[in-house]
Amino acid sequence: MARTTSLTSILIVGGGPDGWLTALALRAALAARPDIRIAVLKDEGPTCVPALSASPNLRRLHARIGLDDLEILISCGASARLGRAFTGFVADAESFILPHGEVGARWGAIQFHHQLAALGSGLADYAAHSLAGAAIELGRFAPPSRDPRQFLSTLDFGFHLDCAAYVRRLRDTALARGVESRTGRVAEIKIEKGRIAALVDDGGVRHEADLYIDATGPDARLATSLGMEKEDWGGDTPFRLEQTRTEPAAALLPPATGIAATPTGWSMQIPLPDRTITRQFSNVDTTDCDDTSWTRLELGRHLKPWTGNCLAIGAAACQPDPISDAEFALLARTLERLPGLLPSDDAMLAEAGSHNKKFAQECAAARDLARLVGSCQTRPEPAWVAARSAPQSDELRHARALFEARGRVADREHDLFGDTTWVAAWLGLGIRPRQHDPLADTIDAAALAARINQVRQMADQTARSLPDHRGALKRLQAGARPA
Amino acid sequence: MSDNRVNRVLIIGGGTAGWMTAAALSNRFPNQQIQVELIESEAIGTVGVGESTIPHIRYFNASLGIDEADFMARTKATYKLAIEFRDWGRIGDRYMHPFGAFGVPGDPVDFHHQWQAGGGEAALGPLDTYSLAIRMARKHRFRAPAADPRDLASTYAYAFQFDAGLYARYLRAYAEARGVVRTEGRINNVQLDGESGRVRSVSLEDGQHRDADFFIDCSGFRGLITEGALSSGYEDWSHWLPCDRAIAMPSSSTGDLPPFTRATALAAGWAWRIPLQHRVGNGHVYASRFMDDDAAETLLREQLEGEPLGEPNRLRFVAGKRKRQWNANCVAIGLSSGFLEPLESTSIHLIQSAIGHLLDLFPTGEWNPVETEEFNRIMDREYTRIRDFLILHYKATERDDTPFWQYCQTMSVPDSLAEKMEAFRERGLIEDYEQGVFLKPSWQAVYLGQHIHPRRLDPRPGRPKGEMRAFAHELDRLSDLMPQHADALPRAAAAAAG
Repeated sequence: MARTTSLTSILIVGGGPDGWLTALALRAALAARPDIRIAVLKDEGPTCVPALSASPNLRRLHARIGLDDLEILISCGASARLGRAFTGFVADAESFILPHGEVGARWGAIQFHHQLAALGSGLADYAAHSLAGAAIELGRFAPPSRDPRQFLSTLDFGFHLDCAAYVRRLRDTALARGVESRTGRVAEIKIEKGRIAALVDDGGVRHEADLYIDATGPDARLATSLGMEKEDWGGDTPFRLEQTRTEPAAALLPPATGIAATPTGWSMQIPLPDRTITRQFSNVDTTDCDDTSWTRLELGRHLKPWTGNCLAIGAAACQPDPISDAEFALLARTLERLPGLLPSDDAMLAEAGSHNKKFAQECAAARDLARLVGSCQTRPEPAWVAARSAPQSDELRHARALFEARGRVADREHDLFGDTTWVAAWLGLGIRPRQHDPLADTIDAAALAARINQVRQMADQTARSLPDHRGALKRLQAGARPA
Repeated sequence: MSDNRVNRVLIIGGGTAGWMTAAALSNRFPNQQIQVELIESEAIGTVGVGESTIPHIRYFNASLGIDEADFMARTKATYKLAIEFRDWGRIGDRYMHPFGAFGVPGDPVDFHHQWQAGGGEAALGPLDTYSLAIRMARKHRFRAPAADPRDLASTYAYAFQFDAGLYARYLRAYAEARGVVRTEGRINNVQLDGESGRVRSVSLEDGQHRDADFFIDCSGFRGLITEGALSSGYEDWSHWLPCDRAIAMPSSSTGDLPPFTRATALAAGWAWRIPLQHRVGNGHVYASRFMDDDAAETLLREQLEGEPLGEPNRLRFVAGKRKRQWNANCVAIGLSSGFLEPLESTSIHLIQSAIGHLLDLFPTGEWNPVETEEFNRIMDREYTRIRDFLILHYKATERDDTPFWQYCQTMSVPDSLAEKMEAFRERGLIEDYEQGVFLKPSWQAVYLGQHIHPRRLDPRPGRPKGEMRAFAHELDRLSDLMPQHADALPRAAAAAAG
């Protein structure tokens, strides 16, 4: 006969955003089981980078755990992210945008980029046919409308977050909802038969739980001590040294994360309202590492992030190339899955197997998107040339061949990104399909041109009607809410 | 544009697959932008199994702009809400696989956990009482689902049971009206282009030749082009699905009109019963290793509820699929692409799926192998998933009353299915597909209906028993408000049937 549960306690090791988000997600899932203890060992964990650039996946996660996006936008030193703006990756193209939300509109079954291809122009400005793309160009923002008849409902956004403020916010909410916060760092991990028997913190206190969540970031302290096998992605990119700098905020607050390629690497500009944080990624082989301000990225993933009674999440489970923007997408998928996989015995084999299989496919998507950028950019410097020729998966090779042949996005299970992201990335990096959906040729050319022009104007005009990004944040602070 | 562009498509074989393809092409490329010709022979019969469908067929019809009432009248169609499985897990069992959810919509804890944690059948009543589609099916009632997602009556879908021969005729009229040319004739030769290995033309017995840029092989089991000319190869799955014969035999209506198909497990296979407006479709699928043809026919006749109409139609097949569904400039659609027994009414779905993916990847004239690769990858996945779901019905049995069932019970199954079954047995996890035809309720129905119960459950509590029972009661009440199936058939259909 079935047994219901032996789960009485969960210990989350790590007080970064991923640790607290996990605590909140579990507390929400176990709302009807207040007897199950959820604790966070908060002093362990990733050193908070000053700022986070989070994809709209974080909104999905907030919705699940009952956090108000707009409230977070105004209370965590945050700004809105409508997409990522890339510069310097393609020789003859100035820049391109990977926008959030919808781009253009289908015509029957015909995807928007096929319409552009049939028209014979506009593929280079793919993102300009989206509200996010137009708003990024103009530095505008407003929260999306919930009314599907409004063009403003086609918008979606992510966040630029002051990491410390966001963590405080998550922690306060978690504590208010009954999550237990424990101080201390892990001093000792007691392993018995491939499982964690207990943790001892630096104050000598012993912590035991039925399920341990490793949210310690790239150090993956629990996973490492369990000897979890890792797949190394270091060969994917030479740009594995990171340095962060802070600059004053620009007068105009961009509603996008800036991704800029330079001869020696690339940078991620995260515009917060009061300052701009730049994460600089440089060539691990040529940069002078004696300077301690550099952090080395150990890219890769654990093959079995759920092993025994320990589940590694976030950067402890997978550290993708930051250019893939997969960090929050991976975390969101894990935390959406976890409530249905809560263990009810000690072995938890079925739960682990189910998660590990799907997580592996999601990681493959993250890796492929990063390799897409690396393999398609056209910079001439040796490190970039090396990045171009680094190995890529069969799945990515197939996806590229299919897109080049006919503009089609290869079918993929457990994709992390939508078709629009893949299309915008291929097009932005200068990949052009040789053929398009033959169906698009059946549309009357004048009607097609008129409609595409209309979409573009609509995006532009709607964007112009929005307040500038700072103004929009001020309005929200003053209590304005979208229709 | 390239000179290699597809201007002429030749469909080899009529029948359901051929005419579905012709109709879809004529709709997709209106005004005869592409010339489509279909060659079929009156002398070669069509198989016409697959009279029972799954809800996806509605999207296919809708994409062609087909009026549902008209279609139902012309194909003598009835509505279908479920499949009833009899005697599968144990002799005497009856369970239904519904086109709809079990339990309260939106519950974070899967219904089978709640049901079992709440004491299962003893405490909460039969599983069937928690599915609106099953409630309706058992009472022979039907009403189209509600559009408002907050309405409980929006939580099910429906399909049709129809005369596949009439459906093919219906689509033929549709396709011919849109410029598809039908040629009567038998093909006796296929010419390949030596250099490219592509199909160039076919010759007919009467001496005519037809060339084309692209060929669609709907010639049935023999795969005239895909196997006969291109030797695409066949992946044999008969060790997992040992049935290799079928006898089909219609019978007269008995008066009642259940909105569901029935699949009754027999000594060496199973029998279908598909109620149409004007007759009942029956058939017996069996394994020739375990039963001879005469015994199989006798057993089928015993199953008939009405008078037999006509002579039995006998079929032979090998469960499996063509290794390359798209090979060179030829795509196999229908029985030429493989065969999975109609236990879950997937024959027409596989046709529909191949047509959809072919249209998505329709050759642009470049003849890029990547299109072929993508198509085959998707269709292989589709085939293997349906295969696994079918095998589950045979594997998950306690029957050992005949050598056939002893074989099924002890046979090894594909790893992909073994892992799924273990995840369910161990922890009640349903590893359904992100893209695929059978979702959670389907697996719930078959696992629980065939006595596979999780050893461990979700630690999250479900609804209180009182609420569960009240919900079941509400479904009972709702289903009572729905019209009888016979009265729910569209007026035009009823008139045509009358």
